[in-house]
Amino acid sequence: MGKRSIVPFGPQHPVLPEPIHLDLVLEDEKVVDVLPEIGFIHRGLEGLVSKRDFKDYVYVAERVCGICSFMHGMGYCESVEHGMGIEIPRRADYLRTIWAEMSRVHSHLLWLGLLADGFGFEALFNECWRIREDVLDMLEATTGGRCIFSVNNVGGVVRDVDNATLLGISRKMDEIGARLKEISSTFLKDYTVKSRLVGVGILSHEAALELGAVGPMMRASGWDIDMRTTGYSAYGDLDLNINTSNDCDCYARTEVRINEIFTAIDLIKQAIDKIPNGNIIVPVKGNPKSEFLIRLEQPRGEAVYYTKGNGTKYLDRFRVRTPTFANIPAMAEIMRGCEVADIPMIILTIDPCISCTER
Amino acid sequence: MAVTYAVQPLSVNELLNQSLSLRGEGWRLCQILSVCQGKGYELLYTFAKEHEMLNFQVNIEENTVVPSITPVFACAFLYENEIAELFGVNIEGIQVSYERKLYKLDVETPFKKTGK
Repeated sequence: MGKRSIVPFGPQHPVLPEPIHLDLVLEDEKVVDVLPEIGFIHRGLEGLVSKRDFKDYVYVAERVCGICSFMHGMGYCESVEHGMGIEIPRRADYLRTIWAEMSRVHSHLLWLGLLADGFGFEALFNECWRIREDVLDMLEATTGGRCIFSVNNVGGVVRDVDNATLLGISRKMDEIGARLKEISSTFLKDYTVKSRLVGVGILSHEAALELGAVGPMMRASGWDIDMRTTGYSAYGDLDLNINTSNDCDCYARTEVRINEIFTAIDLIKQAIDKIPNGNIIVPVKGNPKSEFLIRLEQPRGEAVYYTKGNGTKYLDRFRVRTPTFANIPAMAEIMRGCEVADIPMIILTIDPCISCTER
Repeated sequence: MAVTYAVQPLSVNELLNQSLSLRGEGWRLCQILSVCQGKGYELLYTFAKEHEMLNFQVNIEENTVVPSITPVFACAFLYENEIAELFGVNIEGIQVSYERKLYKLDVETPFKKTGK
């Protein structure tokens, strides 16, 4: 056994957009143990639910995170609506689905750019974010916001999108798909990129289940689990192809996310083809009295939203279990036995979102 | 497929055995949460298998000692540390315990509604 040393990693580090700290126990260059530490940006947003009207709280829920903001608002609303037995208009379901999938596209493109930046491929980083800008432009045109949209409300959505604009989005998505196809070959076939990703950070099929991994992290270890197949919102009307890989490494997680962008584009186009006309919101009468727990598929994986009412306008509890929170144990496990130089790639391929995690 | 939610009661004494049994059947731990209820707490344990979901509600008094399920589901350590720190639930035997310093808060048990 070589001499052991403990190297602190983070909370400030070039590959970390948000703060997480790891104590890496090293033997020479090999990582033999990891202790993750969070708690640098805990805001207690869940506690605020007992002080805000449940209809207004959706704007707090959206601010849990700046990347998957839309889906936090959507998850909160879906949980309250199911608990109160509110059936929202189908057009609102479709609009939520379209915005959710556009959020997935921009989130995955943001992540691809960060990954490229992490392994030193600046031109690839620029190209990913250039494509992402077009998605953000479409989100801004349809919601008024680029990251935080504030279009969800308990009972539906507050903005409609005319059908001509939706057709324009559908055409633009084809263009985005074509541009993504060009750069995806660099991610998946380039020798230097593969040398950083293939065989690195292996999360076995069994370990993914035992450690409670979710989302692309789990699907890259051979599990075809995707919460969208439970049929929430408009997903029950759409044909969903679950992207998986059996390679279990950083490369597999990259491949799964790239394929998920193409799937999201397909879902957006399907939803635009099938969206019905009609209302976008129904009036909400009374206050929540019951509890409900719903699972949504965020860009980073399964997220859990729980709400519990007490008959007043203030909820007893709102709980969100984010995908990164669930993926931290798996991340720590796959670092054991790796080289210290691989740590940044492993962290990046779980696509960590620490603001979500700490809420 | 309709989105549904159902919950089953579970006693704190059965928690470990039930967890062990679920793990043997291939269920994964999905989440653990706590809600203040009167002078005690409701703990909600969610397990998932493919797309199925099981929810178990464990009602406990303020000072009840809850066994950690980390010997069965190692990934439970983050959930249990969070509940202990934010609500003050007494969870015994967490395999990676942060001693109520997961979030390093100045305020002790900020989400606890009783006993203040």
